[in-house]
Amino acid sequence: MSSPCHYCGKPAVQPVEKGGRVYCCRGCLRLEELESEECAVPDWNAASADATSESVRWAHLKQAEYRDRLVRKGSDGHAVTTLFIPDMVCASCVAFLEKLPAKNPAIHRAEVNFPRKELRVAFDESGLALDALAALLDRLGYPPEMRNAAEADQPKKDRQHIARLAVAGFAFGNIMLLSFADHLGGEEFDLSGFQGAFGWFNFALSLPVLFYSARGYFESAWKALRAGGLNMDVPIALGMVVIFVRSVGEVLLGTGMGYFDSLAGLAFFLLIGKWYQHSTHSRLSHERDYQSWFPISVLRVADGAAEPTPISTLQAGDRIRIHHGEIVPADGVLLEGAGQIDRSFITGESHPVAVRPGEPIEAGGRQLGGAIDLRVERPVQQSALTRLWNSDAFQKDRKGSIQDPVDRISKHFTLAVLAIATATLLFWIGKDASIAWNAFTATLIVACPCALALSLPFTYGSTLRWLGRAGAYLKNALVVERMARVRDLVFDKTGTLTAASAFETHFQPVAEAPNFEDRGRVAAAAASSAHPLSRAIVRLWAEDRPRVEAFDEEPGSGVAARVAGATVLIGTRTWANASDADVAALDTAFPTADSGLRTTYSYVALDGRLLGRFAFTKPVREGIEQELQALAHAHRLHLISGDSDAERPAFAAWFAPDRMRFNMKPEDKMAYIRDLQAAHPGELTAMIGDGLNDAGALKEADLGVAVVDDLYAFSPASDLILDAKALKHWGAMLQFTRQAQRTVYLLFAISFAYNLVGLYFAVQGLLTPVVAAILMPVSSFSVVTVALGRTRWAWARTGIRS
Amino acid sequence: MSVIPVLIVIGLVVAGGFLAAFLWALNTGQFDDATTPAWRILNDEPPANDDSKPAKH
Repeated sequence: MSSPCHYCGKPAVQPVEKGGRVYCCRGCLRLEELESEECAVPDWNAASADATSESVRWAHLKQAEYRDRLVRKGSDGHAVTTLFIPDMVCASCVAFLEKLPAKNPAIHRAEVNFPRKELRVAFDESGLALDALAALLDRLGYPPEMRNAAEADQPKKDRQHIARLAVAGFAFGNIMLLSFADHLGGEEFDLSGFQGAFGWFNFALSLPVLFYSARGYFESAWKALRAGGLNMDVPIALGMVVIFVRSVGEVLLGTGMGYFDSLAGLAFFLLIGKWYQHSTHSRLSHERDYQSWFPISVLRVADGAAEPTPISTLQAGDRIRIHHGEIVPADGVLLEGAGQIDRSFITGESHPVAVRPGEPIEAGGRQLGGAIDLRVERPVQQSALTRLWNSDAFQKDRKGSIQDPVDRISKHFTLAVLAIATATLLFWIGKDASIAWNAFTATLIVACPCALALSLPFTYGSTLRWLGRAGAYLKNALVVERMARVRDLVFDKTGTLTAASAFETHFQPVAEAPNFEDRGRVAAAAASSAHPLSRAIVRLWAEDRPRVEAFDEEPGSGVAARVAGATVLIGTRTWANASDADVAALDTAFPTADSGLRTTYSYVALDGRLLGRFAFTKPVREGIEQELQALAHAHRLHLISGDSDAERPAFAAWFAPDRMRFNMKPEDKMAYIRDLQAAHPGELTAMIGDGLNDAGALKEADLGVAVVDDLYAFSPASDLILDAKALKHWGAMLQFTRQAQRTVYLLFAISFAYNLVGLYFAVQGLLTPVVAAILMPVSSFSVVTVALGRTRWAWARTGIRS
Repeated sequence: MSVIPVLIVIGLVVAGGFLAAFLWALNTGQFDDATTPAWRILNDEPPANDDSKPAKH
């Protein structure tokens, strides 16, 4: 008897399993996924409340510079804008957003493109300005995000490619049909009277292929030639031109129908390859810089009034206000409020830092306490963090110099083809001039590297897709090649090897464990504070919380609260009046975790009696220990962290002492990567990090891997975005790409074999259109089949379940 | 048999018409999103307006 469906409860006849649960059908699985995804459809009433924080965030959209870029005039006179909304996750979100016109009279049309996470809105600017629209969406829980021009134009490029593919496919089908008469020939189908007419039809059909569909190849080949180099598109373009010229010649002279079918087929297959290789993760961005991390406007306080101001216009001496959860945009000095800055993304420090009035705050950290006021010390462009982007690594694209294997061999390939063709010409010219021309062009036609050019797109394209299903999103197919060749792996610590935000919390009692009521009191006191450690306590003890009668918070020390008739103190040792004897007893009873991870303690006292303490650590991600062990066999592992070396012992098992560096600034990390590359020339280095402090190293490394907990949240520019949950499969993924590289070499061998067969006919002047028409598709199909089949086999061998 | 070239021309015109229709649909964004329209019909309430033709980007 099969177990009942987890979603609808009916017996599962054809069970589908996912995550250890059984569902009766795909529909139930999908519905459960939809409902379980984090999707809190907000209340419409929330939209009516006036919330200043949102209007601040979007105030910059009032400026013409932003407005003109985002808003276009629709055909019906309305203003039209397309906004990227990363927070839409399910069908309910779509239904909700598309109801906007019914709720706000100034909005005429709202249309969601879910795969791209875009909302297209037609609205009336006199009734609702762009900034008000953005603020409204933000308030409703769907804050829009600004994309750069390249991201916004991607759909247009995709469409153009499909159009080229469609035209090539259309022409290919029709030309094949017409050529069949000639290829089959014979007495039963004597169509010789139509040869001329069919030839002209084929000629007409091949024109759009040559001048529209295959245009990209000619442009690319021309560019390469002008730069004095040879890429794979040069022999392709040469082959196509020769096929066309010779075919036109045959039709004109009436000697045959030419090779138009080969020409159209070539363009069609090559375009399919290109399309297949194209990354399917259009909604992820691999190209972000610090500007996407910072807000665009901030609240500036002048003469007692707060006014939204673009951060680019901030001057030294300005007073700005930062609310809970907002990013500090410029280096400054805290004037007022309790600074509680989470800098894990900027410096790699694993625990938030308390900042008192008068102390400096660096740009980039996130404020976690209440609202604070700062005095700006340096304009945004000159802050310590943004200076990083002015360094060399961000000015030039050094990675372009790492060639893919096809480009490496294409030079030799082209020269070899030209040599063989010339030799053929010279050999025949003395004997029979007509055969000489025939053999010369046939050599160039048959040598056209169609199968060769398809090996890489299909193998790496398929590799990219499999990796995408497991949570690794590559910028493009060529990243596969670099993954396969990586030798040094440099890891960041905080947020990469250890969890980014969640603390692992334990309670260590002095005597017996506190009872239900006391736990409720402590949780209630902690719940009144915005401090990240307080929140971790609330998560640990999710009890029924009594009402808090009085509450006070001292930044850097702790909280004091009166809850249900008892006084609760949570904070530092001195704050909770923990005696040396108690602390010593606790240290003996609960020795610092064997893991060696840095632990922060919060002591808890109830009515003057010490209950115990909370121990907070940022744990190493699940499965990382085994993964590092496995990776160490084939790679050199390095650890570079912006944090102090308190956690050095926790990682000593996997990293050699001289390959572990702590207290590294962003520039130090970049320098470390550069030194590594200089020390091992010819070997590739991967940087695996997550924060802005890794941005320089990610850019400098041959392979930059950004580890993210939330795919749509900000991640620094990288070659690969890796879901943190997939980090434990990193070794298997690298192994998989090495298999892909082997597949490509195998396919090179196969396609060379086909080229040799073709050349055998061509140099003798025996290449008829039929031979070309058979050889080309057969070679292409076998290459594609082997590429997809072997990649699939290699993926099964990795043992990763997506 | 002389009808064959005529038939081919007619065939090409018809097929070309389909190609043109496809290119038109492509350029008006009808293939941009294959997911959302399927969800849209699950939405009980009628659309807020009848102006729902796909728009040009």
